[in-house]
Amino acid sequence: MFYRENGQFKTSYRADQQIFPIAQDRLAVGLLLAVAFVAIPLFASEYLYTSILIPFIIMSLAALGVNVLVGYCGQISLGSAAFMAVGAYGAYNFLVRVPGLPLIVALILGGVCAMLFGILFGLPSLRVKGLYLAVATLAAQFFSDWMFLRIQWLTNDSPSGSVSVNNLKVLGMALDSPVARYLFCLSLLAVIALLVKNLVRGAIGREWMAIRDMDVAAAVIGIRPMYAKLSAFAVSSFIIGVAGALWAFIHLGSWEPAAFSVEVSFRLLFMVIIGGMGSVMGSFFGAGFIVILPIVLSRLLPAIGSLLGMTLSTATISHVELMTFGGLIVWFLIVEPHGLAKLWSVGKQKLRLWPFPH
Amino acid sequence: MEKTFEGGILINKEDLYAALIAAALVALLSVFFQKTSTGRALRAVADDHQAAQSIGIPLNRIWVIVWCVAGVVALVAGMIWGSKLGVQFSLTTVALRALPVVILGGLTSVPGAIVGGLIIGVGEKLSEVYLGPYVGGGIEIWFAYVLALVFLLFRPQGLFGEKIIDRV
Repeated sequence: MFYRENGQFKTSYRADQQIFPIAQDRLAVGLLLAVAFVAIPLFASEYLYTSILIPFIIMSLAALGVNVLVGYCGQISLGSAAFMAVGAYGAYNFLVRVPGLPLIVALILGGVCAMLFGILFGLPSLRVKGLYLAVATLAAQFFSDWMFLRIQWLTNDSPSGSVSVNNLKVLGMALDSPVARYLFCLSLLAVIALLVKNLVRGAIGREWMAIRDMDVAAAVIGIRPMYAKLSAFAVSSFIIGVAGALWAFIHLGSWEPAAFSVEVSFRLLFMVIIGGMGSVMGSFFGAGFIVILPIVLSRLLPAIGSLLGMTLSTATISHVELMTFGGLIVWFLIVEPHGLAKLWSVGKQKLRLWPFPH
Repeated sequence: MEKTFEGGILINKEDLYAALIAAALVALLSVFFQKTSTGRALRAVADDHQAAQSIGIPLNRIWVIVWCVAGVVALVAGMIWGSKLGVQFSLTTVALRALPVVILGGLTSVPGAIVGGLIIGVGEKLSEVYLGPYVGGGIEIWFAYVLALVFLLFRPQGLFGEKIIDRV
Protein backbone atom coordinates (compact mmCIF):
# COMPACT_ATOMS: atom_id res chain seq x y z
CA MET A 1 0.00 0.00 0.00
CA PHE A 2 2.71 2.42 0.97
CA TYR A 3 5.52 0.65 -0.85
CA ARG A 4 4.73 1.68 -4.42
CA GLU A 5 6.93 3.20 -7.07
CA ASN A 6 3.96 4.53 -9.07
CA GLY A 7 4.44 8.11 -10.13
CA GLN A 8 8.17 8.14 -9.50
CA PHE A 9 9.35 8.99 -12.99
CA LYS A 10 13.06 9.03 -13.69
CA THR A 11 14.13 11.78 -16.02
CA SER A 12 17.89 11.26 -15.96
CA TYR A 13 20.27 8.29 -15.99
CA ARG A 14 21.66 9.58 -12.73
CA ALA A 15 18.31 9.24 -11.05
CA ASP A 16 17.77 5.84 -12.60
CA GLN A 17 21.10 4.46 -11.43
CA GLN A 18 21.18 5.68 -7.85
CA ILE A 19 21.67 3.17 -5.04
CA PHE A 20 18.05 3.18 -3.91
CA PRO A 21 15.91 4.08 -6.93
CA ILE A 22 12.64 3.89 -4.96
CA ALA A 23 11.83 6.86 -2.75
CA GLN A 24 10.42 4.69 0.07
CA ASP A 25 13.72 2.78 0.23
CA ARG A 26 15.66 6.03 0.58
CA LEU A 27 13.32 7.13 3.33
CA ALA A 28 13.64 3.77 5.12
CA VAL A 29 17.44 3.84 4.99
CA GLY A 30 17.47 7.43 6.18
CA LEU A 31 15.20 6.52 9.08
CA LEU A 32 17.33 3.50 9.92
CA LEU A 33 20.47 5.64 10.02
CA ALA A 34 18.69 8.22 12.15
CA VAL A 35 17.55 5.54 14.60
CA ALA A 36 21.01 4.00 14.75
CA PHE A 37 22.89 7.28 15.18
CA VAL A 38 20.45 9.35 17.22
CA ALA A 39 17.63 7.34 18.77
CA ILE A 40 19.58 4.34 20.10
CA PRO A 41 22.16 6.43 22.02
CA LEU A 42 19.24 8.15 23.79
CA PHE A 43 17.98 5.06 25.57
CA ALA A 44 20.45 2.17 25.22
CA SER A 45 21.97 0.71 28.36
CA GLU A 46 25.58 -0.31 28.82
CA TYR A 47 24.65 -4.00 28.58
CA LEU A 48 22.94 -3.41 25.25
CA TYR A 49 26.05 -1.69 23.89
CA THR A 50 28.75 -4.04 25.07
CA SER A 51 27.13 -7.40 24.54
CA ILE A 52 24.73 -6.84 21.65
CA LEU A 53 25.17 -3.71 19.58
CA ILE A 54 28.96 -3.47 19.30
CA PRO A 55 29.51 -7.20 18.55
CA PHE A 56 26.66 -7.05 16.05
CA ILE A 57 28.12 -4.05 14.24
CA ILE A 58 31.65 -5.43 14.09
CA MET A 59 30.49 -8.88 12.99
CA SER A 60 28.30 -7.28 10.31
CA LEU A 61 31.40 -5.53 9.03
CA ALA A 62 33.33 -8.79 8.95
CA ALA A 63 30.40 -10.60 7.31
CA LEU A 64 30.29 -7.83 4.70
CA GLY A 65 33.93 -8.58 3.90
CA VAL A 66 33.31 -12.32 3.69
CA ASN A 67 30.29 -11.66 1.50
CA VAL A 68 32.43 -9.79 -1.02
CA LEU A 69 34.63 -12.85 -1.38
CA VAL A 70 32.16 -15.72 -0.95
CA GLY A 71 28.90 -14.15 -2.05
CA TYR A 72 30.01 -11.89 -4.86
CA CYS A 73 33.13 -13.60 -6.19
CA GLY A 74 32.21 -17.19 -5.30
CA GLN A 75 35.54 -18.07 -3.69
CA ILE A 76 34.83 -20.10 -0.54
CA SER A 77 37.11 -19.05 2.28
CA LEU A 78 37.58 -20.68 5.66
CA GLY A 79 40.41 -18.32 6.61
CA SER A 80 38.34 -15.28 7.54
CA ALA A 81 39.35 -15.35 11.20
CA ALA A 82 43.00 -15.41 10.10
CA PHE A 83 42.45 -12.18 8.19
CA MET A 84 40.78 -10.72 11.27
CA ALA A 85 43.77 -11.76 13.39
CA VAL A 86 46.25 -10.26 10.94
CA GLY A 87 44.25 -7.04 10.91
CA ALA A 88 44.11 -6.92 14.70
CA TYR A 89 47.78 -7.70 15.33
CA GLY A 90 48.87 -5.53 12.39
CA ALA A 91 46.99 -2.52 13.75
CA TYR A 92 48.32 -3.29 17.24
CA ASN A 93 51.92 -3.35 16.02
CA PHE A 94 51.56 -0.06 14.18
CA LEU A 95 49.91 1.52 17.21
CA VAL A 96 52.62 0.32 19.60
CA ARG A 97 55.67 0.83 17.43
CA VAL A 98 54.82 4.19 15.87
CA PRO A 99 54.32 6.74 18.65
CA GLY A 100 51.43 9.13 18.18
CA LEU A 101 49.85 7.24 15.30
CA PRO A 102 46.13 8.10 15.03
CA LEU A 103 43.79 5.16 15.66
CA ILE A 104 42.08 5.40 12.28
CA VAL A 105 45.41 5.27 10.46
CA ALA A 106 46.41 2.24 12.54
CA LEU A 107 43.13 0.51 11.68
CA ILE A 108 43.62 1.18 7.98
CA LEU A 109 47.23 -0.04 8.12
CA GLY A 110 46.00 -3.18 9.91
CA GLY A 111 43.53 -3.63 7.08
CA VAL A 112 46.37 -3.25 4.58
CA CYS A 113 48.36 -5.98 6.40
CA ALA A 114 45.32 -8.27 6.20
CA MET A 115 44.96 -7.35 2.54
CA LEU A 116 48.52 -8.44 1.72
CA PHE A 117 48.03 -11.66 3.73
CA GLY A 118 44.75 -12.28 1.91
CA ILE A 119 46.30 -11.78 -1.52
CA LEU A 120 49.10 -14.21 -0.60
CA PHE A 121 46.68 -16.92 0.50
CA GLY A 122 44.31 -16.06 -2.35
CA LEU A 123 46.89 -17.12 -4.91
CA PRO A 124 45.71 -20.78 -4.92
CA SER A 125 42.29 -19.51 -6.06
CA LEU A 126 43.83 -18.98 -9.50
CA ARG A 127 44.28 -22.74 -9.84
CA VAL A 128 41.61 -24.38 -7.71
CA LYS A 129 38.04 -23.73 -6.61
CA GLY A 130 35.28 -25.02 -4.40
CA LEU A 131 36.24 -27.46 -1.65
CA TYR A 132 39.90 -27.42 -2.73
CA LEU A 133 40.04 -23.68 -2.18
CA ALA A 134 38.33 -23.98 1.19
CA VAL A 135 41.14 -26.28 2.32
CA ALA A 136 43.78 -23.97 0.88
CA THR A 137 42.34 -21.09 2.89
CA LEU A 138 42.29 -23.27 6.01
CA ALA A 139 46.07 -23.13 5.64
CA ALA A 140 45.86 -19.37 6.23
CA GLN A 141 43.83 -20.02 9.38
CA PHE A 142 46.20 -22.49 10.98
CA PHE A 143 49.26 -20.57 9.82
CA SER A 144 48.05 -17.40 11.52
CA ASP A 145 47.17 -19.32 14.71
CA TRP A 146 50.75 -20.53 14.82
CA MET A 147 52.32 -17.27 13.71
CA PHE A 148 50.86 -15.16 16.52
CA LEU A 149 51.66 -17.78 19.15
CA ARG A 150 55.25 -18.46 18.12
CA ILE A 151 56.69 -15.33 16.53
CA GLN A 152 57.25 -13.18 19.57
CA TRP A 153 58.08 -10.03 17.65
CA LEU A 154 54.51 -9.79 16.31
CA THR A 155 53.01 -9.77 19.78
CA ASN A 156 55.51 -7.36 21.28
CA ASP A 157 57.31 -10.22 23.12
CA SER A 158 54.38 -11.19 25.29
CA PRO A 159 54.79 -14.90 26.13
CA SER A 160 51.31 -16.28 25.31
CA GLY A 161 50.55 -13.90 22.47
CA SER A 162 48.04 -11.98 24.55
CA VAL A 163 48.17 -8.22 24.14
CA SER A 164 45.98 -5.33 25.15
CA VAL A 165 45.33 -1.74 24.15
CA ASN A 166 43.96 1.12 26.19
CA ASN A 167 43.43 4.87 26.07
CA LEU A 168 42.11 4.78 22.53
CA LYS A 169 41.51 8.22 21.04
CA VAL A 170 39.85 9.30 17.82
CA LEU A 171 40.35 12.89 16.64
CA GLY A 172 41.13 13.94 20.19
CA MET A 173 38.07 12.28 21.72
CA ALA A 174 38.63 9.38 24.09
CA LEU A 175 36.77 6.16 23.30
CA ASP A 176 36.09 5.33 26.94
CA SER A 177 32.29 5.25 27.09
CA PRO A 178 30.23 2.53 25.37
CA VAL A 179 28.33 5.24 23.45
CA ALA A 180 31.52 6.61 21.91
CA ARG A 181 32.69 3.14 20.96
CA TYR A 182 29.31 2.31 19.47
CA LEU A 183 29.19 5.49 17.40
CA PHE A 184 32.77 4.99 16.20
CA CYS A 185 32.07 1.42 15.01
CA LEU A 186 28.77 2.47 13.49
CA SER A 187 30.34 5.31 11.48
CA LEU A 188 33.04 3.00 10.13
CA LEU A 189 30.41 0.40 9.25
CA ALA A 190 28.25 2.99 7.46
CA VAL A 191 31.21 4.27 5.41
CA ILE A 192 32.46 0.80 4.46
CA ALA A 193 28.97 -0.51 3.68
CA LEU A 194 28.45 2.43 1.31
CA LEU A 195 31.83 1.71 -0.32
CA VAL A 196 31.00 -1.97 -0.77
CA LYS A 197 27.55 -1.23 -2.12
CA ASN A 198 29.09 1.04 -4.74
CA LEU A 199 31.90 -1.39 -5.56
CA VAL A 200 29.53 -4.25 -6.26
CA ARG A 201 27.33 -2.03 -8.45
CA GLY A 202 30.31 -0.98 -10.50
CA ALA A 203 32.46 -2.61 -13.13
CA ILE A 204 34.57 -4.55 -10.67
CA GLY A 205 31.51 -5.96 -8.89
CA ARG A 206 30.14 -7.17 -12.20
CA GLU A 207 33.46 -8.87 -12.93
CA TRP A 208 33.30 -10.64 -9.55
CA MET A 209 29.76 -11.83 -10.20
CA ALA A 210 30.69 -13.06 -13.67
CA ILE A 211 33.56 -15.05 -12.16
CA ARG A 212 31.20 -16.43 -9.52
CA ASP A 213 28.54 -17.50 -12.01
CA MET A 214 30.92 -19.25 -14.38
CA ASP A 215 34.61 -18.52 -14.39
CA VAL A 216 35.45 -20.12 -17.75
CA ALA A 217 32.72 -18.17 -19.51
CA ALA A 218 33.86 -14.98 -17.78
CA ALA A 219 37.42 -15.55 -18.95
CA VAL A 220 36.18 -16.13 -22.48
CA ILE A 221 34.41 -12.78 -22.65
CA GLY A 222 37.57 -11.01 -21.55
CA ILE A 223 37.46 -10.74 -17.76
CA ARG A 224 40.89 -11.37 -16.30
CA PRO A 225 40.37 -14.10 -13.67
CA MET A 226 43.58 -13.25 -11.86
CA TYR A 227 42.74 -9.57 -11.50
CA ALA A 228 39.11 -10.23 -10.54
CA LYS A 229 39.84 -12.97 -8.00
CA LEU A 230 42.79 -11.26 -6.36
CA SER A 231 40.95 -7.93 -6.18
CA ALA A 232 38.07 -9.71 -4.46
CA PHE A 233 40.53 -11.27 -2.00
CA ALA A 234 42.16 -7.86 -1.45
CA VAL A 235 38.93 -5.92 -0.84
CA SER A 236 37.42 -8.67 1.28
CA SER A 237 40.44 -9.23 3.50
CA PHE A 238 40.93 -5.47 3.92
CA ILE A 239 37.40 -5.14 5.29
CA ILE A 240 37.75 -8.28 7.41
CA GLY A 241 41.09 -6.96 8.71
CA VAL A 242 39.54 -3.65 9.77
CA ALA A 243 36.70 -5.59 11.41
CA GLY A 244 39.23 -7.79 13.21
CA ALA A 245 41.12 -4.76 14.48
CA LEU A 246 37.85 -3.25 15.73
CA TRP A 247 36.85 -6.55 17.35
CA ALA A 248 40.15 -6.69 19.18
CA PHE A 249 40.50 -3.00 20.07
CA ILE A 250 36.94 -1.99 20.80
CA HIS A 251 35.11 -5.16 21.78
CA LEU A 252 37.78 -7.26 23.49
CA GLY A 253 40.34 -4.70 24.66
CA SER A 254 42.86 -7.42 25.43
CA TRP A 255 43.05 -10.56 23.39
CA GLU A 256 45.10 -13.60 22.45
CA PRO A 257 45.38 -15.60 19.21
CA ALA A 258 42.63 -17.99 20.37
CA ALA A 259 40.12 -15.16 19.94
CA PHE A 260 40.48 -15.64 16.18
CA SER A 261 40.25 -19.42 15.98
CA VAL A 262 38.85 -21.50 13.15
CA GLU A 263 35.48 -21.42 14.91
CA VAL A 264 35.18 -17.71 14.13
CA SER A 265 35.87 -18.47 10.46
CA PHE A 266 33.01 -20.94 10.40
CA ARG A 267 30.68 -18.50 12.14
CA LEU A 268 31.47 -15.83 9.57
CA LEU A 269 30.79 -18.25 6.74
CA PHE A 270 27.49 -19.26 8.38
CA MET A 271 26.51 -15.61 8.66
CA VAL A 272 27.01 -15.13 4.94
CA ILE A 273 25.17 -18.34 4.00
CA ILE A 274 22.24 -17.73 6.35
CA GLY A 275 22.03 -14.02 5.64
CA GLY A 276 22.21 -14.39 1.89
CA MET A 277 25.13 -14.75 -0.46
CA GLY A 278 25.74 -11.83 -2.75
CA SER A 279 23.73 -9.30 -0.80
CA VAL A 280 24.93 -6.41 1.34
CA MET A 281 21.70 -6.55 3.30
CA GLY A 282 22.24 -10.27 3.88
CA SER A 283 25.45 -9.64 5.81
CA PHE A 284 23.50 -7.65 8.39
CA PHE A 285 20.75 -10.25 8.63
CA GLY A 286 23.30 -13.04 9.01
CA ALA A 287 25.30 -11.20 11.66
CA GLY A 288 22.08 -10.42 13.51
CA PHE A 289 21.01 -14.05 13.37
CA ILE A 290 24.30 -15.47 14.62
CA VAL A 291 25.14 -12.78 17.20
CA ILE A 292 21.73 -11.90 18.62
CA LEU A 293 19.74 -15.14 18.40
CA PRO A 294 21.82 -17.07 21.00
CA ILE A 295 21.36 -14.20 23.45
CA VAL A 296 17.62 -14.09 22.81
CA LEU A 297 17.40 -17.87 23.19
CA SER A 298 19.29 -17.89 26.47
CA ARG A 299 16.87 -15.25 27.77
CA LEU A 300 13.78 -16.94 26.40
CA LEU A 301 14.44 -20.55 27.41
CA PRO A 302 14.12 -20.13 31.20
CA ALA A 303 10.82 -18.33 30.64
CA ILE A 304 9.51 -21.16 28.46
CA GLY A 305 10.76 -23.67 31.00
CA SER A 306 8.90 -21.98 33.83
CA LEU A 307 5.74 -21.88 31.69
CA LEU A 308 5.94 -25.65 31.41
CA GLY A 309 6.60 -25.91 35.11
CA MET A 310 10.24 -26.92 34.81
CA THR A 311 13.31 -25.33 36.33
CA LEU A 312 16.17 -25.59 33.88
CA SER A 313 19.73 -25.71 35.12
CA THR A 314 22.33 -23.49 33.47
CA ALA A 315 23.95 -26.45 31.73
CA THR A 316 20.63 -27.63 30.31
CA ILE A 317 19.85 -24.14 29.08
CA SER A 318 23.14 -23.84 27.23
CA HIS A 319 22.68 -27.30 25.68
CA VAL A 320 19.11 -26.61 24.62
CA GLU A 321 20.25 -23.25 23.29
CA LEU A 322 22.86 -24.90 21.06
CA MET A 323 20.37 -27.49 19.82
CA THR A 324 17.66 -24.91 19.07
CA PHE A 325 20.22 -22.73 17.33
CA GLY A 326 21.42 -25.59 15.12
CA GLY A 327 17.87 -26.65 14.38
CA LEU A 328 16.90 -23.11 13.40
CA ILE A 329 19.87 -22.85 11.01
CA VAL A 330 18.82 -26.06 9.26
CA TRP A 331 15.17 -25.00 9.20
CA PHE A 332 15.95 -21.58 7.70
CA LEU A 333 18.14 -23.10 5.02
CA ILE A 334 15.46 -25.63 4.06
CA VAL A 335 12.75 -22.97 3.94
CA GLU A 336 14.88 -20.44 2.08
CA PRO A 337 18.14 -21.79 0.63
CA HIS A 338 19.10 -18.32 -0.58
CA GLY A 339 19.16 -16.85 2.89
CA LEU A 340 17.25 -14.25 4.85
CA ALA A 341 18.01 -11.53 2.29
CA LYS A 342 15.98 -13.47 -0.27
CA LEU A 343 13.02 -13.61 2.15
CA TRP A 344 13.36 -9.85 2.54
CA SER A 345 13.34 -9.17 -1.19
CA VAL A 346 10.45 -11.58 -1.78
CA GLY A 347 8.55 -9.73 0.93
CA LYS A 348 9.25 -6.40 -0.73
CA GLN A 349 8.15 -7.75 -4.09
CA LYS A 350 4.87 -8.97 -2.61
CA LEU A 351 4.34 -5.61 -0.92
CA ARG A 352 4.71 -3.78 -4.24
CA LEU A 353 1.83 -5.75 -5.74
CA TRP A 354 -0.34 -5.91 -2.66
CA PRO A 355 -3.29 -6.61 -2.50
CA PHE A 356 -2.98 -8.42 -5.85
CA PRO A 357 -1.12 -11.73 -6.01
CA HIS A 358 0.46 -11.09 -9.46
CA MET B 1 64.72 -56.07 12.45
CA GLU B 2 67.21 -56.14 15.29
CA LYS B 3 69.98 -55.26 12.83
CA THR B 4 68.35 -52.21 11.24
CA PHE B 5 66.83 -50.73 14.36
CA GLU B 6 68.67 -51.10 17.59
CA GLY B 7 66.48 -52.88 20.12
CA GLY B 8 63.84 -53.74 17.53
CA ILE B 9 60.53 -51.97 17.00
CA LEU B 10 57.77 -51.94 19.57
CA ILE B 11 54.30 -52.07 18.09
CA ASN B 12 51.23 -51.60 20.22
CA LYS B 13 48.66 -54.34 19.71
CA GLU B 14 45.92 -51.73 19.47
CA ASP B 15 47.79 -49.91 16.70
CA LEU B 16 48.07 -53.14 14.79
CA TYR B 17 44.35 -53.81 15.09
CA ALA B 18 43.59 -50.24 14.05
CA ALA B 19 45.80 -50.58 10.99
CA LEU B 20 44.18 -53.90 10.08
CA ILE B 21 40.68 -52.51 10.46
CA ALA B 22 41.62 -49.48 8.36
CA ALA B 23 43.12 -51.69 5.66
CA ALA B 24 40.06 -53.93 5.59
CA LEU B 25 37.75 -50.93 5.38
CA VAL B 26 39.76 -49.41 2.54
CA ALA B 27 39.68 -52.67 0.59
CA LEU B 28 35.95 -52.99 1.19
CA LEU B 29 35.27 -49.43 0.08
CA SER B 30 37.39 -49.73 -3.05
CA VAL B 31 35.53 -52.87 -4.10
CA PHE B 32 32.21 -51.19 -3.26
CA PHE B 33 32.98 -48.10 -5.32
CA GLN B 34 34.59 -49.84 -8.28
CA LYS B 35 32.70 -53.11 -8.69
CA THR B 36 29.12 -52.85 -7.40
CA SER B 37 26.38 -51.12 -9.34
CA THR B 38 25.49 -48.94 -6.31
CA GLY B 39 29.11 -47.79 -6.08
CA ARG B 40 29.12 -46.86 -9.75
CA ALA B 41 25.87 -44.97 -9.29
CA LEU B 42 27.45 -43.06 -6.37
CA ARG B 43 30.39 -42.03 -8.53
CA ALA B 44 28.08 -41.01 -11.35
CA VAL B 45 26.09 -38.79 -8.99
CA ALA B 46 29.31 -37.26 -7.67
CA ASP B 47 30.32 -36.43 -11.22
CA ASP B 48 27.08 -34.86 -12.40
CA HIS B 49 23.71 -34.95 -10.60
CA GLN B 50 21.57 -34.12 -13.57
CA ALA B 51 23.22 -36.53 -15.98
CA ALA B 52 22.95 -39.30 -13.38
CA GLN B 53 19.28 -38.57 -12.84
CA SER B 54 18.58 -38.54 -16.55
CA ILE B 55 19.88 -42.09 -16.96
CA GLY B 56 17.60 -43.30 -14.20
CA ILE B 57 19.63 -43.25 -11.00
CA PRO B 58 17.26 -42.64 -8.07
CA LEU B 59 18.84 -39.62 -6.42
CA ASN B 60 16.91 -39.88 -3.15
CA ARG B 61 18.11 -43.41 -2.52
CA ILE B 62 21.67 -42.43 -3.42
CA TRP B 63 21.63 -39.59 -0.87
CA VAL B 64 20.52 -41.97 1.86
CA ILE B 65 23.18 -44.54 0.94
CA VAL B 66 25.98 -42.01 0.68
CA TRP B 67 25.23 -40.45 4.07
CA CYS B 68 25.01 -43.91 5.63
CA VAL B 69 28.36 -45.00 4.19
CA ALA B 70 30.00 -41.74 5.25
CA GLY B 71 28.51 -42.08 8.72
CA VAL B 72 29.62 -45.70 9.17
CA VAL B 73 33.19 -45.00 8.02
CA ALA B 74 33.42 -41.96 10.26
CA LEU B 75 31.98 -44.03 13.11
CA VAL B 76 34.71 -46.64 12.75
CA ALA B 77 37.37 -43.95 12.60
CA GLY B 78 35.86 -42.27 15.65
CA MET B 79 35.77 -45.51 17.65
CA ILE B 80 39.40 -46.32 16.89
CA TRP B 81 40.51 -42.78 17.65
CA GLY B 82 38.43 -42.68 20.81
CA SER B 83 39.72 -45.99 22.16
CA LYS B 84 43.28 -44.85 21.57
CA LEU B 85 43.25 -41.18 22.59
CA GLY B 86 40.05 -40.80 24.56
CA VAL B 87 36.75 -39.18 23.65
CA GLN B 88 36.40 -35.44 24.05
CA PHE B 89 34.50 -32.65 22.44
CA SER B 90 37.62 -31.61 20.53
CA LEU B 91 37.16 -34.72 18.37
CA THR B 92 34.98 -32.46 16.20
CA THR B 93 38.06 -30.71 14.87
CA VAL B 94 39.83 -33.94 13.92
CA ALA B 95 37.84 -34.07 10.69
CA LEU B 96 39.49 -30.84 9.59
CA ARG B 97 42.82 -32.62 9.55
CA ALA B 98 41.48 -35.20 7.12
CA LEU B 99 40.78 -32.51 4.53
CA PRO B 100 44.38 -31.87 3.39
CA VAL B 101 44.82 -35.64 3.10
CA VAL B 102 42.00 -36.13 0.62
CA ILE B 103 42.93 -32.95 -1.23
CA LEU B 104 46.53 -34.07 -1.61
CA GLY B 105 45.54 -37.56 -2.71
CA GLY B 106 42.75 -36.46 -4.98
CA LEU B 107 39.08 -36.27 -4.01
CA THR B 108 37.86 -39.07 -6.25
CA SER B 109 40.43 -41.70 -5.40
CA VAL B 110 40.62 -44.24 -2.57
CA PRO B 111 44.34 -45.08 -3.08
CA GLY B 112 44.91 -41.33 -3.13
CA ALA B 113 43.53 -41.06 0.39
CA ILE B 114 45.97 -43.74 1.61
CA VAL B 115 49.05 -42.29 -0.08
CA GLY B 116 47.99 -38.77 0.88
CA GLY B 117 47.50 -39.87 4.49
CA LEU B 118 50.96 -41.40 4.61
CA ILE B 119 52.61 -38.35 3.02
CA ILE B 120 50.83 -35.94 5.34
CA GLY B 121 51.31 -38.04 8.47
CA VAL B 122 55.01 -38.68 7.88
CA GLY B 123 55.59 -35.16 6.55
CA GLU B 124 54.03 -33.58 9.64
CA LYS B 125 56.22 -35.48 12.07
CA LEU B 126 59.43 -35.18 10.03
CA SER B 127 58.94 -31.45 9.52
CA GLU B 128 58.32 -31.02 13.24
CA VAL B 129 61.58 -32.82 14.08
CA TYR B 130 63.84 -31.45 11.36
CA LEU B 131 62.35 -28.05 10.45
CA GLY B 132 60.57 -27.18 13.68
CA PRO B 133 63.62 -26.10 15.71
CA TYR B 134 64.55 -23.48 13.10
CA VAL B 135 61.22 -21.66 13.11
CA GLY B 136 60.21 -21.99 16.75
CA GLY B 137 58.44 -25.37 16.79
CA GLY B 138 54.77 -26.32 16.74
CA ILE B 139 54.60 -26.22 12.95
CA GLU B 140 52.62 -29.48 12.98
CA ILE B 141 49.31 -27.61 13.08
CA TRP B 142 49.76 -25.87 9.73
CA PHE B 143 52.30 -27.99 7.87
CA ALA B 144 49.71 -30.35 6.35
CA TYR B 145 47.61 -27.49 5.04
CA VAL B 146 50.51 -25.56 3.58
CA LEU B 147 51.84 -28.75 1.99
CA ALA B 148 48.43 -29.37 0.40
CA LEU B 149 48.23 -25.72 -0.68
CA VAL B 150 51.63 -25.73 -2.39
CA PHE B 151 50.84 -29.08 -3.95
CA LEU B 152 47.52 -27.78 -5.34
CA LEU B 153 49.34 -24.95 -7.10
CA PHE B 154 51.16 -27.47 -9.25
CA ARG B 155 48.59 -30.25 -9.52
CA PRO B 156 45.05 -28.93 -8.87
CA GLN B 157 43.41 -32.36 -9.05
CA GLY B 158 45.65 -33.93 -6.40
CA LEU B 159 47.91 -36.95 -6.80
CA PHE B 160 45.49 -39.50 -8.19
CA GLY B 161 42.43 -37.38 -8.91
CA GLU B 162 40.75 -37.33 -12.28
CA LYS B 163 41.82 -34.47 -14.48
CA ILE B 164 39.55 -31.46 -14.04
CA ILE B 165 38.02 -30.41 -17.33
CA ASP B 166 36.06 -27.16 -17.52
CA ARG B 167 33.22 -26.78 -19.95
CA VAL B 168 31.09 -23.77 -20.65
